[in-house]
Amino acid sequence: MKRILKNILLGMVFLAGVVSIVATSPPIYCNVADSGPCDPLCEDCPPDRRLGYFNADPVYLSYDALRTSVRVVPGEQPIKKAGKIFVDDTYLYVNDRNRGVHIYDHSDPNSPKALGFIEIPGNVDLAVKGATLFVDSFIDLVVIDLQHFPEITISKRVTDIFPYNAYQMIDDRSIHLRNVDPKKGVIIGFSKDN
Amino acid sequence: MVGSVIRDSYHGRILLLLIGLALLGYGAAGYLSFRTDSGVYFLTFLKIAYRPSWHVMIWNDHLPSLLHVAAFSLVTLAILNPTLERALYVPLVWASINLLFEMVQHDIVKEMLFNAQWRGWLPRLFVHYSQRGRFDLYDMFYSLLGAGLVMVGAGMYQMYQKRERLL
Repeated sequence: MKRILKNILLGMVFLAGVVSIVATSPPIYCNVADSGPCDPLCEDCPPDRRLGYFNADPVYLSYDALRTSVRVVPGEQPIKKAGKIFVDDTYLYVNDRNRGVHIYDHSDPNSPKALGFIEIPGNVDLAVKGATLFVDSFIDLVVIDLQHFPEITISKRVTDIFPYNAYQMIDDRSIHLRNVDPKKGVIIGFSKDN
Repeated sequence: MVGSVIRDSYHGRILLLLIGLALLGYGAAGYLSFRTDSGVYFLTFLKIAYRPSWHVMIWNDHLPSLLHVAAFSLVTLAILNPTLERALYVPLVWASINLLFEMVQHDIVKEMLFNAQWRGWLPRLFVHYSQRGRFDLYDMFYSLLGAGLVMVGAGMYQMYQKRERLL
């Protein structure tokens, strides 16, 4: 009896161990109302959300293009995906995930004024000291002098300082990139097979 | 090894069980603190309302692999109460299970599984796991590290016990 109980317990531990591995994986939905990818065997799943579409080829931005693409777009620009916010005495900096940094003048708190948007591909974090903006741009750290904003100067760029993340700009978790080649550049999108 | 040292020792086995469960709890707390709902099955389906932010925890994305192997090895040892020789295999078996689950996330296995005619025979959750996960060599390393730590820890404990007995 004791032996049987022990074996049942061991079986349960084994099952719990295996289930806990699967339980910590990303979820899959069958209900079309859900936003995630679908079960491939699910009849009511739209074709573009089936798992069969997980394979995709990366679309690259070359390192040369990445390192010459920081520029200012003056005036108010829509925030697509707000990230980190930083505030100093006069200015408010809002990161737009993977796109860049919006700068606002909040010297009159009742009517903050959009000054412009600095396009920085792959930017997800920022820090400010005086008139110097420190940002990441995929794998690089970029130091931008804002003294004469909207005129900006790249004071320094430290290359290859952050880890390469092939999925940084890919929100769709059903996508699986194949043949990722970091030598070609950073990944800014994907193209599906079918 | 652990099993032989605490063999027939009720308190020792309870201790192993508690350490194992504590490690599992630590792993669960890490998932609650550091992962988003959309990234983890159990968070999505349990719909946990309270999400603590224990960001003081020592954590990295590979740590769950280590915790899983170590925790389940200890729990298994506590229940199995094995001999010295058998105890050695317990962490190895759990590390092998983790390695297998990691390998099915490799691109080659993924494609093979997805296109296989016999895919329907496999448990659906397993196929999902393979298709949705991402292969990570570090996870494999951490799994082996977890098994290694249980073995080393057990070995040290055994040496300590022997010395105590001699004294």
